[in-house]
Amino acid sequence: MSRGFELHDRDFPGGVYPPERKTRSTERPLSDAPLPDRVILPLSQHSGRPAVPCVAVGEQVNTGTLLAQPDSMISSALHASISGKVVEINTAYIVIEKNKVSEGDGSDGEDNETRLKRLDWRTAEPEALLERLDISGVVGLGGAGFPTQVKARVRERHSLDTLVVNAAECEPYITADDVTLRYFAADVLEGAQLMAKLASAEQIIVGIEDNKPEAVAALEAAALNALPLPVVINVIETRYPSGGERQLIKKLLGREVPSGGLPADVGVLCHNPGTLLAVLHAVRDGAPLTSRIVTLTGNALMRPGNYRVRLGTPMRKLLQHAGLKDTELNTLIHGGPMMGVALADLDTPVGKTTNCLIAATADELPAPPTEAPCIRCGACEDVCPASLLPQQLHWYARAGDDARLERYHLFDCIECGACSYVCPSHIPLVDDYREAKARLRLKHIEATKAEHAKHRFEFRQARLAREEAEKQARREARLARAKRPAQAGTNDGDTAQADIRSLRIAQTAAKAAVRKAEKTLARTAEQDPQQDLSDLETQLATAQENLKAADAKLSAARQQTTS
Amino acid sequence: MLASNTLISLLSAVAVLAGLGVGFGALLGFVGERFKVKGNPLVEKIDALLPQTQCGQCGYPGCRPYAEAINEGDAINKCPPGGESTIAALADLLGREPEPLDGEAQAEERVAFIREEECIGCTKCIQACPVDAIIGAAKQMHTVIEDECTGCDLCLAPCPVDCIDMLPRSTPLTQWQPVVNAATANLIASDRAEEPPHVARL
Repeated sequence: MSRGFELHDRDFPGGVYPPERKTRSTERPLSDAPLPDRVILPLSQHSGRPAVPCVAVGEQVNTGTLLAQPDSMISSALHASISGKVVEINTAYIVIEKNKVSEGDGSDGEDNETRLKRLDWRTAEPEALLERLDISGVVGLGGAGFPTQVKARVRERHSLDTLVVNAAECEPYITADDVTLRYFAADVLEGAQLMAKLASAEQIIVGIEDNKPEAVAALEAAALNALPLPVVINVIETRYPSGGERQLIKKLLGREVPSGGLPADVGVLCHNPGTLLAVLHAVRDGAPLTSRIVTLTGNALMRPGNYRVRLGTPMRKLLQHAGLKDTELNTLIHGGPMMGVALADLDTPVGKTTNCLIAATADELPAPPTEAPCIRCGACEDVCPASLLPQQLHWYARAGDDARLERYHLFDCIECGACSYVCPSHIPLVDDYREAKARLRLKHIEATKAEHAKHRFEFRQARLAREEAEKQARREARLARAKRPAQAGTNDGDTAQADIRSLRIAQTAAKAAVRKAEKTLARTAEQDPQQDLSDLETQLATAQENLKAADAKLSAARQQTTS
Repeated sequence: MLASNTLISLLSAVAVLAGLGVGFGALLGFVGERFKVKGNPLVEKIDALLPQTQCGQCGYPGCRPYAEAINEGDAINKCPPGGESTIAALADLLGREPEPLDGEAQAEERVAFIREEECIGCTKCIQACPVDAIIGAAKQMHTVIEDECTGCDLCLAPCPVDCIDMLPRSTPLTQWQPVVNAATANLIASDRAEEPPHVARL
């Protein structure tokens, strides 16, 4: 069996088998959560810079009205998820309240929707499609929330051949993607065709774990009339974390995403089914992202299941709709039990990256036992899907040894939590890594800032030197004009000639520095248009100031010799 | 015959060695000129460790002059904005003993803020700012660009109406640091509190 060998060769290392507990939330059909009276929409529901509000307090908005525009390249738009009045805008979020309805109408007010023009993606220009994605606020709905339009533009700098639909959904409890595929498999595949067209991919592969037979059946039925690209459905073994982007690509295609790189570096683009559905809605129906499918589960709920939820709905409302047993609730987890975070406040709104809420009882997810010292058993190394050395990272993170952390590739850690799961000493390893990552990032930001301040200081010094040199040159010129009638010829020609030569050398060096700075700026701008270029521009300005100063000094010296 | 042979071999040895000497000397001289390192690389390294606030609290007009002075043998503990971590890094680089900080360490990062209604537009602070972080013109109100300000205090003294405050720098959400409770990890089990900190009843 050559296939078995090949599979083994392609597999990612490590992985764990936590209890799945997925059936609880798939027993009930997908349903719409009740329309909230009040939504809180954070400006930063995506990775990158927060959106910038473009409405005013008191304005009437419809569902789908643009509330905030993307700020710079990596950012995303934000739309109203209910119709009503904007009642609060601050630096972090926008609040919308439903209009008061006159009595008799009941509690459900009107829900007016604003939609954009419908586009046919098969005939529309790629530019029109990209522009539509820009203004639709679609982000990766799998959890990271990376703006989709940025991913769609990745073709500009990488050649792509495969679009991977990441339907593995390996984390326990979560079934949002499973349910999305059961109900909308054809739409998801159409969205995949759209994104594949934008990326000029040649094939579409769906990676799905074998614990979702209903979704696989729906996909297989939908894939029969997949056009224009063929769709391959690859059912893989259920093992955490096969839904990690790098792990899935390794498993499906045998390609390894380089350290610090992107899937696009190996010609792959990875999308979550929910994202593809949102993309299709944005293009085909002109509907911006205003709702998403959320799994509500956990033993503290009476009616667990998957609900279509308007963004910004307070979690308390949502959980009450699903039959929250207040007395039994111990922890509310946003995301899955492996990678999710425990929330401290039930009034947190549902965001674009909220794929699952687990209302857990104390028995279900007990507080972790007290941490014991590391015994160097090496269990974490065996399960690490990124082939890192978790215990070494643990020591270095606790010791604050930043140089070693980077050398041991801390930033390749996907924070999947497999190491914490198997640790016999119950060390919260991933917490250590997150903390260390945040510290390293801050250190990097500070280093860049210091470098920037230095360049501005140098620019100022160069400017002052230039002003001084120009003043000197003017003075020399004045002196020369005054002297000329009285005295002709030079007395110290040799030294002046030597001065001019050294000044000319300095001027040539300054010219070379300007050219070099220009070249660096142009190259960086070409390689990475998203990067902030202000620092390089300051350096170029410094070089130009130096050149001007050299010019002024040289002309002053020439004045002197000719006089 | 024998003597002349010996003489020839002796002379040829001398000639070959002299030739080699001249040849390699020329090569070394050429390489030395061609790949000359401008500036002092150690000064660059020291400068890279300094916080670049250009505040002059060390007694030198900027970070680079102080880096040059350290290279000449000045003390490494004169940089209050850098604090203990900069001293430790410098001691590590230069192989010197870390000394306690000469001066008062800053508790938090600060930025200059101009109370705009009191500003008379004298441009004195603009001239004092080492990083051109203040904008304004004569008899016009001035203001500080927060992102560019290094918190060096140099604009405070020249202000004739004392309208500049040093305020704590606002930290963007992207630079948020998780709060870790490192104390619990290294305690003996019997010394620890009963319940680990966890999100208790909501």
